[in-house]
Amino acid sequence: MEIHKEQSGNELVIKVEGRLDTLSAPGLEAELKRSLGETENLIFDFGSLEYISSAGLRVMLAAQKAMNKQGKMIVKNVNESVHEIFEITGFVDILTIE
Amino acid sequence: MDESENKAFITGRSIAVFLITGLLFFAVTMPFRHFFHVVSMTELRPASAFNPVLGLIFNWPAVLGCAFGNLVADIMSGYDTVSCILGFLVQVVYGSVPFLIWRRFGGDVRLNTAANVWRYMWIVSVDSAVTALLVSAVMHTAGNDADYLMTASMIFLNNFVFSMTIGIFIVLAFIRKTLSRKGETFSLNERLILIFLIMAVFSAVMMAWTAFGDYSGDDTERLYFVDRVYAHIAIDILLFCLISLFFVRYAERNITIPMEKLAEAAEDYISAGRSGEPDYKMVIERCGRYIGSYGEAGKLAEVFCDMSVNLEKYIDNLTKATAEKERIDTELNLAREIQVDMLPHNFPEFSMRSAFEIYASMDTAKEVGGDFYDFYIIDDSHIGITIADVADKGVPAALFMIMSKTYLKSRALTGETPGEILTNVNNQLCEGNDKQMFVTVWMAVLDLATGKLTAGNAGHEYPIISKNNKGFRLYKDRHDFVLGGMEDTEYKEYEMILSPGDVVFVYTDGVTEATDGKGEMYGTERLLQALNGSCAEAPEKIITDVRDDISRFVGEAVRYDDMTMLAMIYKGPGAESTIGHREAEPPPKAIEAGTLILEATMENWDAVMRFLECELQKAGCSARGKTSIEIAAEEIYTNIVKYAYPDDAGTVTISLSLHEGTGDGPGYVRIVFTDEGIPYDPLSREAPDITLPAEERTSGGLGIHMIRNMVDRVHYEYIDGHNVLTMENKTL
Repeated sequence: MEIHKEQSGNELVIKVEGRLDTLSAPGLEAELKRSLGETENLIFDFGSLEYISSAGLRVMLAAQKAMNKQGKMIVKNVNESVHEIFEITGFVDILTIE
Repeated sequence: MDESENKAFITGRSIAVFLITGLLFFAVTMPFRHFFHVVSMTELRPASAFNPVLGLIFNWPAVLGCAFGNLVADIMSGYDTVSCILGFLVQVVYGSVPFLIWRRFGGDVRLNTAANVWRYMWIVSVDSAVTALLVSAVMHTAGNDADYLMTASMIFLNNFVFSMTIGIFIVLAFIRKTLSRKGETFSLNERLILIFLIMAVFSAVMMAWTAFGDYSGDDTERLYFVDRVYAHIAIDILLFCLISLFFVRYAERNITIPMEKLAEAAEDYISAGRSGEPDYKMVIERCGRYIGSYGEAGKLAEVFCDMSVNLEKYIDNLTKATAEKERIDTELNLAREIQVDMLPHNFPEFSMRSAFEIYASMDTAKEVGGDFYDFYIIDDSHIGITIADVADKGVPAALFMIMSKTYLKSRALTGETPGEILTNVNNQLCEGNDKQMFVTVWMAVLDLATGKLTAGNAGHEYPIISKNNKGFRLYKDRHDFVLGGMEDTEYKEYEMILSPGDVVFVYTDGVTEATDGKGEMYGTERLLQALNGSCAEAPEKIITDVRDDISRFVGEAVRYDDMTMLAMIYKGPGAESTIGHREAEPPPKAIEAGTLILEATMENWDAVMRFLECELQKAGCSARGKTSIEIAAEEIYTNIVKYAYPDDAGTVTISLSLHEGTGDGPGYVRIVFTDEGIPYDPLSREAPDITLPAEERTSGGLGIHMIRNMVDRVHYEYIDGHNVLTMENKTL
């Protein structure tokens, strides 16, 4: 899994490539802890994300809860299988998906 | 001008010429007859230029045309019949003498040499003189009283002057037209002559102008006056032309003609060169005679000759050098083939000892290279494998490579350990190694009974090893110095134990340093990714997959280094094994199956994932199916890791089998997770409420929810001290 981040002002774009599973989710968690700070606008670009498991979802949930307090969060470029997972788990209602 | 015109005397063209010249003659004569009358039977006659000149160009049709034109003019001027007839005949003679004489001497009518201009001048003079005498005789018989001699001289002068002025330019105009139809222009000499002729005419015109400006007087004096003026003009032209001819002659000998000839020779040389062989002998033949010419022409002639000779020599040398180079290339190719043949290729027979499987490949860059690999049997239960890279490329590296390979193998066959082999071979290579050649070597001896691998690394790339199905990792072994560098260097060895299914992959830097079009190197990371991403089970396929990946990466860029790889799978002392991820007993009704047994740790998830990927790919599972299965499998595996063995480690067995569909239904895959941990049914957990908003959601139970919803069927049992969780999903 690879993480690319772009910070401009109070906007943070995080692009996740590869698989977000039980082994790689801690990496994303650590990155968010490092970079989130005072960001008001958090954008996840999942254009190259192939796969997300419950470990990844947990990180997303934590991020969504945090952003609900300090701004907003958007998830974009979600592929079909990842979208299905969001549907099954009800995460489509919790996340803002574009 | 055209000889053949006389054969077909009456052609359309000749009739046209006849009519046109006749009309022209008439049209020019009449005005002058009226206004410039000198004597009863003659006048200023510019038309006198037409007969000789048009006769030279068009021959008989023009001559007759002029004669008839004159006849008509005479009749219209009221001359008596006899005079008219005689006049006609004189005109015929006047017009035909020039071209007949010119034809006699041969050559085209062209004013391109001093000789030709001279010829024109004297022909015109003779013609004019003859005509003058004839006309006077005619007038005399007609009883004309004018001064016989004066009349004759006037006629002569008239004809001469107009032929030398208007006449010459009419000739030049026609020559120009003919040349341009052939795509040519006046030659250099012709242009020079033209300049002189123009100047001659100019001075004549000046003289005429000033002379006639002085005129005053009556009719009787008119003849004498005109005669005198004419005489002056004629002498002017004559002298001017004669003197010019001397200058032209000089130029012809030293400038213009040599230049024309040299230019021609050069042109021919080039076109001969284009179509085949440039012929320097032709150049010498044609240009050589001008080397003695004075001035630039001579210099140019000499230069041409030298240049063509030198070019010939140069071409000769180049041809010889190219032939030599081709010979060397052929020999090098042969040497490369011999070198490649030296490396062992008997993979299948070698691998028939079922304790291991081996495959190697070497891709040489263009020249003979210095990479090599080797493998051989040392004794009943030991094999040796080697990979090496000689510094540099080319013939010296190839020779060094042969020596190294031979020494290493012969030492190994004596039973020495890798450390001893490297130490001894190093000293052997250092002897007489003035060129400071060296070679990097990784070599190992494998004990087939125990799986013990003893290896030594002399400055070579780290080996890549896959142990216990954990995936390929770089093994950072101890590096000693390269071989052949310094005498009396001590080389050490190290050991590791291989389990059945473990893979050893070694390579040379041509693999990791392969560059793409942008100068980026393939690198160890990509190599590891390619190895781990390959679902290959046989060494040959592993190597093929890596080579394909490198080809994709390198694309069109040219490879400049040898690429060598060797892969070996240790299978264990027995032919079958029950451990390892491919030899499970297929359950009934299953088409294919595979089993993975490993320790239930989080780190091992990687190996599980790869196992699933490869097996599902082989089963032809769709991408969607794969994702669903993998996500569910991850949840199940994670649960086992977390809850099955709280105190210490334990194993989990994962078996995968493919089944045909019931009736017409699609096929499905069944995966069974078995562990010996505490009894735990993950499916008994409550499903989470997925309608809650974010703040109230917890992450608990999410995994189980996903398992249930992502795969078609999931089922738990506790049998005989084992947790058995079965999951099934369509492959489509």
